[in-house]
Formats: sequence, structure tokens, C-alpha cells
Amino acid sequence: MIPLFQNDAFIAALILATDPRIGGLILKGALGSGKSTLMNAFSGWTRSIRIPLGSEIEALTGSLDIQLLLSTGEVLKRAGLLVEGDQSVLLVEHLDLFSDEIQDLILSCGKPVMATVSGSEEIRGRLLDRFGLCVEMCTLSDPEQRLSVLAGHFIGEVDEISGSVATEASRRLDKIRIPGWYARACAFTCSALRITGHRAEVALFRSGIALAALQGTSSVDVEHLRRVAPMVLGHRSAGESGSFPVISEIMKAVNFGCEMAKRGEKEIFSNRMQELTERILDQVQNSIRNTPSITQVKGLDYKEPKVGTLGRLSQQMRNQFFREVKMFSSGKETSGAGSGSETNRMQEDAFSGRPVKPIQADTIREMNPLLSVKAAAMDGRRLPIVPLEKEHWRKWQKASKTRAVCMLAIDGSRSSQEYLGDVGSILDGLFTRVFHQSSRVGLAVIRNGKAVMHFAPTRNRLRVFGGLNDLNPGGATPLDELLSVSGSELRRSGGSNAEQRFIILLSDCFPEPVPVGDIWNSSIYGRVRKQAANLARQGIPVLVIDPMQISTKAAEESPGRRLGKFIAHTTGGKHVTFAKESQYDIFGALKESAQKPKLVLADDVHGEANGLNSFSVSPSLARLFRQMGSS
Amino acid sequence: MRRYPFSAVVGQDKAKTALILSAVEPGMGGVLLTGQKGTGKSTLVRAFPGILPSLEVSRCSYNCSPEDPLLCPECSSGKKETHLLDPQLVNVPLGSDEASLLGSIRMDALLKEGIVEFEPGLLARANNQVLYIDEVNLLPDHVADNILDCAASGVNTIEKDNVSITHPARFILVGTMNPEEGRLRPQILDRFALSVPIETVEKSEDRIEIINRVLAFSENPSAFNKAFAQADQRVREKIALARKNLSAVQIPVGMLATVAGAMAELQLDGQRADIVTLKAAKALTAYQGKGVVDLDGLNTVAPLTVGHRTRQGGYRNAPEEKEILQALKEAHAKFGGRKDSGRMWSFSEAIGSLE
Repeated sequence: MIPLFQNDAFIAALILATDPRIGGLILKGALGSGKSTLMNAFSGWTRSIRIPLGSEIEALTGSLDIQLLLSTGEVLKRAGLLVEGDQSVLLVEHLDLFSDEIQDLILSCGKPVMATVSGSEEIRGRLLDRFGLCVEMCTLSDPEQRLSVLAGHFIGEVDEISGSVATEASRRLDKIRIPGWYARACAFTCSALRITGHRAEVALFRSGIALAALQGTSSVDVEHLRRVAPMVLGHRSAGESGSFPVISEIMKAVNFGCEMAKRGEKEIFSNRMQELTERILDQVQNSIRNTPSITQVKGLDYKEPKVGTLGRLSQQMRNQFFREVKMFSSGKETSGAGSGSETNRMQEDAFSGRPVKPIQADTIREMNPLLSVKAAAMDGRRLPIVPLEKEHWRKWQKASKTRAVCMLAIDGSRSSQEYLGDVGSILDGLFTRVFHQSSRVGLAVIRNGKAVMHFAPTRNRLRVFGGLNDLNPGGATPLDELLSVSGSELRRSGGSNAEQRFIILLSDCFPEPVPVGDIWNSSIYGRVRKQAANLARQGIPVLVIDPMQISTKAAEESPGRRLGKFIAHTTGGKHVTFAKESQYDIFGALKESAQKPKLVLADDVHGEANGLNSFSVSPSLARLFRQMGSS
Repeated sequence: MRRYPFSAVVGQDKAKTALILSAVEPGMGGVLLTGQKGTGKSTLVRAFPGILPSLEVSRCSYNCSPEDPLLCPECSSGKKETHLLDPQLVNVPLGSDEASLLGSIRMDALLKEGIVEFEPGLLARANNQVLYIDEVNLLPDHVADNILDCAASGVNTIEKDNVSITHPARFILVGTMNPEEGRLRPQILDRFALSVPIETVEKSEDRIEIINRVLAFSENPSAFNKAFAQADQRVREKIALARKNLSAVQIPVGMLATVAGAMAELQLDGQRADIVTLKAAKALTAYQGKGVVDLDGLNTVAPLTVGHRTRQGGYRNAPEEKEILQALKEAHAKFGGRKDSGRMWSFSEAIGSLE
């Protein structure tokens, strides 16, 4: 008897029975959702060994035959469960109740494992990754489905399936036609999700083929990948934050991966893939030669699970290809960080009163790394694409003699996804219209107390664009740390008198997390104020660019805005509101810094907000614009 | 020690029903009695074996039933003679460890004679009897897990100390606990098929009756037992008859649909509640000598089978009796008349095809 209507779990079990090399299946789920029932059914489909609760390590690895030892003095090793039979599937109920040591042993012996966990205790991520497939069995909420389960149980009206289904499918495995794009699609899918490790693509590759074999089709197709991808990828930690991808992300990634892989077959890869593949195969052969295949563990011989050619190939492809192309997967469900950021986001929203607009990018339209920042912005309907090519840079106006040494301090919190695209424009304008071409710029992003990325100012603008490109919005940014890191990078980079050192702080100035209540006097604000005073003592102005479009006077007095102004004022920098229509006005402020290196206009900073249409700048800046006659 | 007669326990009808149901259908799962100190939990459980029909078992260390498809290592090596067993209570002492439960290697045999011999544990002894865990909430988690895993599968597999043995362990699991001393993990709680909260008897005449009976029993146990022997015997015979008739009891589709609808309405996790409720209703119907499960039966058993289960993944507390009965009533009005079991799951639909 199998648990009905748990189709995903059922298919996953059949896939594992068809191709045990997939490595295993872990069933999670509520109490009594049929995990054990499915496991019992599974044991009839393929060869399997059950590991009972309470097993000792010696029973698994093998031990000395005590009886023989005591009676004859002979030493003989009794085989343990893990060496009996070659590729039998290990069945482990309540894996979470076994000791860590035994869990490790079971999952590292290289055999396929089918396990259940009751969900109360977490399985460590490292172990979770060993399972090719992971399915959560849900509670059926539909009375009709529940009725069918009961009818199956008490009346016996069940569509019987025989164990031979999997056996027949496994015979068909070799006959499934695998299109050329298929392996690449698996690799790209995993890359798009930024999944760590390479087990995922191998499991995805095999699972799709196994499903095709089960369905009795002749070749494997996108639909197969779409069906198995949630089972294969849903439990893999992905990205910097290590969170699990949600199903919409997985589906997006599969679409993306398949599209790129199929396109690659025709256009992009025609020559380069050939070359790449050859180089990679060389490396694979080298590495296989150099790795020992047998490892001794507690006197137990087991074969190291091999990362096949596919794994290495995909790794290479990933490195090569995704250096150039990156998928922006910032759907609404994408947290990009833990629950902490979620609350922060809500605070942000409550503060700004705006809905968070997710950037959607199903495909990357441009292959140019400099453009991908903008491509993301475009998909968020923020900016037209402005080509940013080398010829463009060459048209730098020589007018400016001031060389800038600048740190771009970015508040990478969730709201930044709305204006990251604009940062490209800022950098563009910074080097084309304001400062001397030999200016240097660095980048600092702090998240949740850890530096996501920071490097000292460099002339290599590609590096800065690359850094922006790799930035994933989300997480709390402590402004004081951001300022202090930026300051120290600036100090470290030195600089002569001909150079203007400053920091551009891109933030809506809401240091997170902010306690509700008397925000302005909170210790978090206190630390930021102290840090700004430090920078002022070192003569480093901070240009605060507040990218949020806030037009009301009430918002003008909001704590975030006040803090931005405070930092600018204290350090002798500027506070500029950066609104959609006014994005290039920022260069006015930058020009101002370039022309008058030590700008301190305290009264201006506190000047009244004027009612310029949708953005507001400080009066001095507005005056400057009028003088320059540009906008 | 003389055993207090089951029928002499005053009140506690629900607990008695639960124990009787588990006696009719031992495969259903365990019974959990919760209640404060001195409410008669232990007395009731100790009396419980008195109503269990005797059983023909082999003379082996595992009390194998000759009809059991799985035989113990002793019986599978050669047929043993059988005898009639009056099921007894096998107590799991509070300090039990895995070795005493699952069984272990016999050290004396190993050291004196140099042979590896398996000494069966409590789970082996409890086969075809009653396994009783007093203060089940105080048992270490891994020990409780082992017992419940074994109770669910009816099989005990030992993989340790040079031995690899599988033997039947089909016992009626009865646990008692005092909720004041700590809660039970939901995973363990859910494994008990039936759960009954035992309350102190409130009526003063009942209380007086209790005192009278307890005093009478302690003064002259044999006379007291004699007085109630017939009542116990009647229950025992009814249980034996019900076990025979159990498989013939019919469950109409309308009742299946009623349970499915009510449990979906109550948002219970998993399908264990549905299945256990129907099994219990079936057992009750058999015990009552009827042939078809009806709504009254469901109303009687559902509070016992559902009242301890978490809902919505543990976010909602277990439903109260009123809520359960209401859900059953509504589901019966809606689905009670159904004749067909509806959309069936099909293999080809589940596996899907690309056509």
C-alpha cells in the first residue's frame, strides 16, 4: 500500500528505485502523512536493507567475531550492514533520531539511502545535501482526497502498482536519448540558483532521465526537468545566505537554464564550448589520476563517491560562463537572508509606505557584464539601457582636473534592489563627467555585521561593476560599520593633495534593525553619529545619496532623512535626494565636491526642503544647477 | 500480589472503553492515560490483563503465536509445542535503557562458554502481552522512540553486539502519565492510537463507592475478586468474540466520508487520525456485537482517537470533544449519504505523461 495523493513523494521513490545512483531520498512531513508506508512499499520495488533504530556502529561497519575469538582465538571480521550487498538501498526511518556519528556513517558510505524524518529535529544541511531527492509529504486538506485514502485502506480500492515498474524503467535508462543541451541545462539551473556544491546537477541530470524512463518516453525533455527540479533542488542551500530556494525560484531557474543551454547550442557556444570542453576533459582526467578512489574508514572499504565528468564539467562551465552572465533572481519570495531581513523590510515598507517592487529577470538580455546591472534595472522598469562601452569612456571630458579617491558605500538592504541599477549610472557619470579619468573608486557592502564585499579604491572599474553585479539585495546594514570600513579603506589607499577623498553613501539612511520608539536617540543612531564625527576629523566628507523618492515635508523630517543630513552635515558632505527623474543631478553635487574639495555648508544642509517636483536637493545644490544651467 | 478486578473500577468509562478497544484490535496502536496522581490510572492498567482472552502461544522466550507469519529465531529453527497464555503486564521500569528493552548479549554465556547468545529484552517478553510504561513522559526520548517504533511495526530488529535478530513484538502498548510532570513530544503523542484524560470522580456517592471497594479489596482480596470475576469473565468473552467478528464488520462509504470530512475540517496533521478512528469504530462495533459502523460509534471513539493530536503542523492545539462531535455531525450531514468513494488515485495520473 502506498500513500495516495502524495504524488511527489511517490514519484521520487520510484525515481530512486529506478536509478539508485541518484544517491537517496529523504522524506519529511507531518506525523502520520505516510512516510513509513511509502518506505514499506519502496522496499518491495528494489533491493534494500533496513537500518533499525538503536543500531550500533559495529553492526553497520562490521566487527570482530567475538565467539570465534574467544573459543579459538582466531580473528575474523563479521561483515556489517553497510557492506552487505553492493548497491542495495539503505532504509532508515527516523534518521533524525540516530546519533550524529551514525548519521555521518550512513550517509558517507556511498550507498543510496532512503530516510524519513519527522521534521521536529533538523537534519544538518551538510547531510541533507547528500540526498539526491527531498520531498515534504503534506497533510491532505481536501476531504475527497482523505476519503480516497480511507477507501484505499478499508475497502481496498487502489490502483495497484507492481514493483516491476521501477525494474522495467531501470532497464530503459540506457536507451533514453539525452539531447546535447540537457547536461548544460542542469548545470545552468543550479548555477542560476547559486547552489553550493555539485551534487545537485548530477542528481538533477539523473532524475530527469529516470522520470523519462518511468514514463516510457524515448528522450528526456524540459518537462522532465521541471517535474523533478523541486525534489532535487528544494533542499540545497543556495547563495550567500544559504537559504533554501523556493519553488518559484526553482522554476525560473529551470526555464532560464534550459533556455540558455538550448540557445548556447545554436549561438553562443559553437566554438567556445568545444574549446572549453576539451580543456576541461584534460583537467578531469588529471584529477581522476590524482585522487585515490578507495578510502579506509574504520576498516570498512568503501568507494569514494565520484564526482563524475558531468560534475567537473559543470563546475568549469559555471565558472567560465557565469563570470559573464548572471541571473538576477530577486523574486518576491527571495529572501536572500534570514528572517531578520524580513522584519527589516517590513519596517522599511512601513516607513516609506511603498510596496517593495521585485526585480524580475527571466532572461539576461545582454551578455556584456557592464550592462547586466542595467539589464536588471530595466527588468524592474527603472531605466532605459544606456550603453556603457569603452568608446563611451574615451569621450571623457578632460575638463576636470580633480582626481577622486572615492568609496562607494552601499546599503545593500532589500530596498537597494530598486536603485542598484542607478548606481551604474552614477559611476558612469562620475568618471565621464565629473572627475579625472584616473580617479579611483572602491566598494563596500556590509550585511548583518559581516562585510559582504569591500575593497580599496581602484582604477579598475570593471571590478566595481563586477562587485555591483554580484550584489544580492537583502539583510541588515549597520551604517556605522559601513562608514568605518569605507573610511579605513580610504585611509589605506593613501592619496595626494591633488586628490579628493570622499565617501558616497548610498542609503535610505535607515540603519537596521531599528528599535521602535525614540529612534533618533537610540544607540544605533548614536554609533552612526560617532562614526560620522570620526570621518569629519579625518577630513573625509560623506556625500549621502538618498535614493528614495520622498516628496512630502513630513518625510523630510523622518529619522532616516535626518540621519542622512546629519552625516553629511557633520562630515562636510552633501545630502541629496535621488529620485527617478533627477538621477543625473547627482553629478552636480559631485562636481561641487570636485571643484571645492572642502565643502562645508552647514546652513544649506539644514535649509528648508524646496518643492522641486519629485525630488528635493539642498538649496545650494539647486543654486549650483541654475548657475551651471544644466539639469 | 492480587490483581484488582477490571469491572470493579468505578467510573472511568472512557478509559475502560479505550482499553477494551485496544484489546479487540491490538494492531491499532497504544493507549495513553493521562491524569493527575491518585486518579486510578495504574489500578486500571494493572487490572487490564484480567479482561484479555488467553492465547495459544509457543513455549519460547518470545511467546510466538503459531499463526504469526514472522517467527522468532527459536521457533523458526523448529516447531515448538504450544500452551495457553494468559497475557500479563510487562512493566517498563523508569530507568530502562536500550539494552534491557531491545535485548542484549549474554555476558555469562560469552565469558564462561565462549558463545554469543542473545538475551531477549522487554520487547520480546511483551510479545502478545501488554507493555506498560508508567510515567511515559519521563522516559528518555530515545528509549520511547525505540518502543514506539517497535509498537508501530510489530517487529523488533536488533543490530548490535555481534547479533542480528528479528523477532515479532506485537504488544498492546499502554502508557500513563501525569501531565504535571512534563509534556510528551507531539511525535510520541501521535503514535498513541487512543488517549484518555482521567479525571477525579466528582460525584460523592461514587467516591464513597470507591472507598468501600478499595477497603473491601484490601480486607479480603479473594472474596472481592470472586464477586467481580463473573463480570470480568463476561468482558473477556465479549472481547474474544469481537476479535473473531472484527474482520466481518462493514464500514459504509458514508462513514468513511464522514471521518474524512470531519478530520479535514479539524485540520488534523497526517492521516493517522482518520485511519485510527475508523479502526477503533470498527473494534467498538464488533465489541457491541453489531455488524456495521455507524455515527454513534464514531461519536464514541473520535474523542479518544483525536483528542490528543496536533493540528496544522502543531500550530493549533488538539481539538476539544465538543469541537470533534460538531465536526462529525456536520460532516455526516454533508457526506453521510455518499455511496461512491469518489475520485480515485491512479498510477498513470500520478506519474504523468507528456502526451
